[in-house]
Amino acid sequence: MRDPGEGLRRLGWTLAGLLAALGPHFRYLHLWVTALALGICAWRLLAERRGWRLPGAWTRGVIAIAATAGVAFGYRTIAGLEAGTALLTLMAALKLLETRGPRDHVVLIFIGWFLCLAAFFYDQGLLTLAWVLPTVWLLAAALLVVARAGSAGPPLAPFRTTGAMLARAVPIALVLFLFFPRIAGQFWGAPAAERARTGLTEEMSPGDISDLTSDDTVAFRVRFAGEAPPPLQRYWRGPVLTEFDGHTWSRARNQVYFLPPISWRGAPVDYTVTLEPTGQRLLFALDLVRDWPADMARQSWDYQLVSREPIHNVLQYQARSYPRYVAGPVLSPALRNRHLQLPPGRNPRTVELARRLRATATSDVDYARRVLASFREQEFYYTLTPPGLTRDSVDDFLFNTRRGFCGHFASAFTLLMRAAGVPARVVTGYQGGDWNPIGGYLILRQSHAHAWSEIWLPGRGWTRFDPTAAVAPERVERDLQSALPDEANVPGRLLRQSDLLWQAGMLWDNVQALWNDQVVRFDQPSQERLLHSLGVDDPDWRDLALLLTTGLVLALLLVSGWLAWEFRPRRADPVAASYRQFQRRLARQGIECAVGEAPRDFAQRVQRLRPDLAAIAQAITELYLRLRYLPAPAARDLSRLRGLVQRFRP
Amino acid sequence: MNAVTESPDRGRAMLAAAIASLNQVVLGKEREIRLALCCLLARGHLLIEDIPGVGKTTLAHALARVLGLSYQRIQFTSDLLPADVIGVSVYDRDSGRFRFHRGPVFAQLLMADEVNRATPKAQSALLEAMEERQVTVDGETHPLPEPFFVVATQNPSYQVGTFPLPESQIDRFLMRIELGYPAPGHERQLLRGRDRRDLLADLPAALDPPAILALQQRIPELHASDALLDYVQALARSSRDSGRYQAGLSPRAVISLLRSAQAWAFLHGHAGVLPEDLQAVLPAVVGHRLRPRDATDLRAPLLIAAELLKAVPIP
Repeated sequence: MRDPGEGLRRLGWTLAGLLAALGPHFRYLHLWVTALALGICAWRLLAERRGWRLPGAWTRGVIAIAATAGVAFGYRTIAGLEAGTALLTLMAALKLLETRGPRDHVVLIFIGWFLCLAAFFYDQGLLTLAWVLPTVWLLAAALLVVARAGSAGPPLAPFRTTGAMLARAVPIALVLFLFFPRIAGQFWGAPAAERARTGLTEEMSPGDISDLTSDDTVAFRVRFAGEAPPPLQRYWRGPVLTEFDGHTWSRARNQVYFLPPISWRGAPVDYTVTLEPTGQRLLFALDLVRDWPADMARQSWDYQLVSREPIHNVLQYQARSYPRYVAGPVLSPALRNRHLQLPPGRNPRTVELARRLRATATSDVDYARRVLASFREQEFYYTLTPPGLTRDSVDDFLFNTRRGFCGHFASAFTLLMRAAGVPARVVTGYQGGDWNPIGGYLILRQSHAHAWSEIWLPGRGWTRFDPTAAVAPERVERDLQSALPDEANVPGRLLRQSDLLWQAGMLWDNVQALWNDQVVRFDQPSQERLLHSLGVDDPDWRDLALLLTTGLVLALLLVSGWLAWEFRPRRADPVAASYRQFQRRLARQGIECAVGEAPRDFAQRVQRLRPDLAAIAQAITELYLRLRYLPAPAARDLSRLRGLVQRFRP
Repeated sequence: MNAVTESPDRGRAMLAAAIASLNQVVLGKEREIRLALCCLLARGHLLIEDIPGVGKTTLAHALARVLGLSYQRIQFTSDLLPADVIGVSVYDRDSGRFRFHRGPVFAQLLMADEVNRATPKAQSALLEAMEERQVTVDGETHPLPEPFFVVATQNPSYQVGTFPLPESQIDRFLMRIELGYPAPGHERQLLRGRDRRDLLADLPAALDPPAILALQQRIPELHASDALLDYVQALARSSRDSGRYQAGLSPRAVISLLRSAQAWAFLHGHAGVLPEDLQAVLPAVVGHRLRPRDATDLRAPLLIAAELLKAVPIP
């Protein structure tokens, strides 16, 4: 007897688990994939309720091929993380169309677990964890419901049972986490092209950076060994842009120069950066960096730190910078030319203005200061929502709109320098940062993205000029919020104005930083340190693997041995076996013994349904009862029972 | 009664005669009569739950007559005191001592009518006597007569003015049965036939106390095979693990179940307990002990038992 509501209950549990597992992926899936998957889920639920027929093999085949083609067309591939997830999502949805028995449900639940794992490929933050852990639990509960046919207990009972199971698995998970051999390098990293890149890019068009200001996510966190440098010195160097096409600044590609020498002045700043994954190859450092882990990155000729591989995992490195320096006191002609390059015929009014201003200035420094002064004195406005600019963006900005963000000012200033024969370039990066008083570290968010200029001055080398500081000094000295009028829609303004919320936000960030430091970034060196503190001095990861495997195998053998003993097959009672055979033979004739039906009741039913079998059925039943339930059965009764059942051919 | 101790068939014949007599008084309730006798044989107490006027008292009284037991009846009311049940110590001027006057509880068959009308205090006085089979007053212990068989009747507790027996008390009754309305044919016989009270007066005793005691001793010795004990335990496990009931069957309930099944098997001339014996007594034994977890589930105890039987395969 099957409960008609049972199918629906099973399906409900499996669907709930599957949808929860898909949750973190919806953000990254194409809309049509999400819509199709949800549509199929809804249809399947309706079909179960209304008793509709599921589509046949042909229909399913056609839909499957169409879905695969859709993914191949939409994602241009069927491999890789995003396309793979999309394909998995669609196949899970299609599996629903042929889901009938418990086995199909089990397949769906395992797909759900795989999706949970895949969610960490995108993001290993605490929020993802907070979503995935309950989902794993829900899926386990669903598996229990699917496997335990027939008993509709209270709805929360599966959670209790599986909760206890998962709790017992936690120590194993911990041991594996701590001791599973970590392999150096980016083990989990997904192929570069697949990943969404965040943060600063290698190009800057007017308006690019102001897009970033609406993004409050953390770019990196910095813990200083000593005193943190004052805000005015907190320039974190990112992509240096030297190429200009009249509108957009971009990085010089395929250009290799000697690194211009640097001489250091004053006191160094030591700090540790924990960088969130960017999908790019840049490490950020305070201007100007002298020491960094040499195996992690090299310094390019424009003083950027370039890593070997795109950064897909949280990365931590120590660095030492000198806020005072002389970089490249001598400029090679090739570099000079590169930094004077102008797109011919573009922004003519700016070029003309530069030449005019330079003629009145005494030196390059004087000229640069005059330009800054003119930014300050004339009607320029610092705004997050600058108007769009025409093709000759700098002309338009300087002479028409006069409203801009840091990118506009840096772009205009650099062009004015170049047009006057002063080598100059745009530097993008992050400026300032939020101090977290609870954790004692600095948070750099995407909204701290900034652009400034560097010009080369004879004898002083590359010198930073920040035109934004001339227009809106608060931006550099304090933060973005202070630099803008109150009504400007700046993210996090509410957060900053409420002291309590601000504190809570900082606490949360602290927790995230801890998670990053202790869990996400637990890599080979961390493991070695742990083993070292446990007295294993020179751990070889092969030994570790061997030890771990042996331990696990032993533990599993013990557990399975105990289970095998606990559930050992009871010595089959020959009487019961014979009676079962009798029941099986009747069942083949459509007369099935109901659960809990007493032998004599069953015999009576047989008599009613098949009067021809009544006599033998009764004889077998009476013999069985005598053998199994009455005292001191005769030995020949067993052979008689066996004989009767053997000859029983309904 | 040596005859009974020596031959179970003799005892069985006496029981059959008793059943036949009872059937003449209480019409069409043979199953309930047999259950009541099983309850007695298993040294338990019986709770009859039904609306007034379906023959609860008649059955109890007839049992006393047929079994040859001394009979007392207490009508439970809301002002009943424990002393009204147990008895009271009275000062005797002649001897200068307190003398214990035995209450109605000192009977071999005690009919506790409408037990849920009395206050919990009076109820517990009776129920403790049932459990202990003795009464202690002023530090002096008075054993109750043997056999001691309580038949309590109870109106369905949704009726006004009742104190429903708490679960711990109701567990002391081995069985709980309902009588229900008579079938039309039997009702016609009631209408045409003699007054039941007159019939009762004429009823001959088919058994006597020593015979009953001998039979009671025989019951636990009746063969129960491992396969049957497996079945009993499987039922208990299901009641505990399924999550359908507020609490599963207690070990006391499980023993009660086995004893009742043994009594039933004896009554039906089985040399050992068969699954059908167990199934026959199960509704009466577990119906009042299992409460569905879902409190709104007011299904009859019979259905609760049927559900339990359907959930457990016979091993």
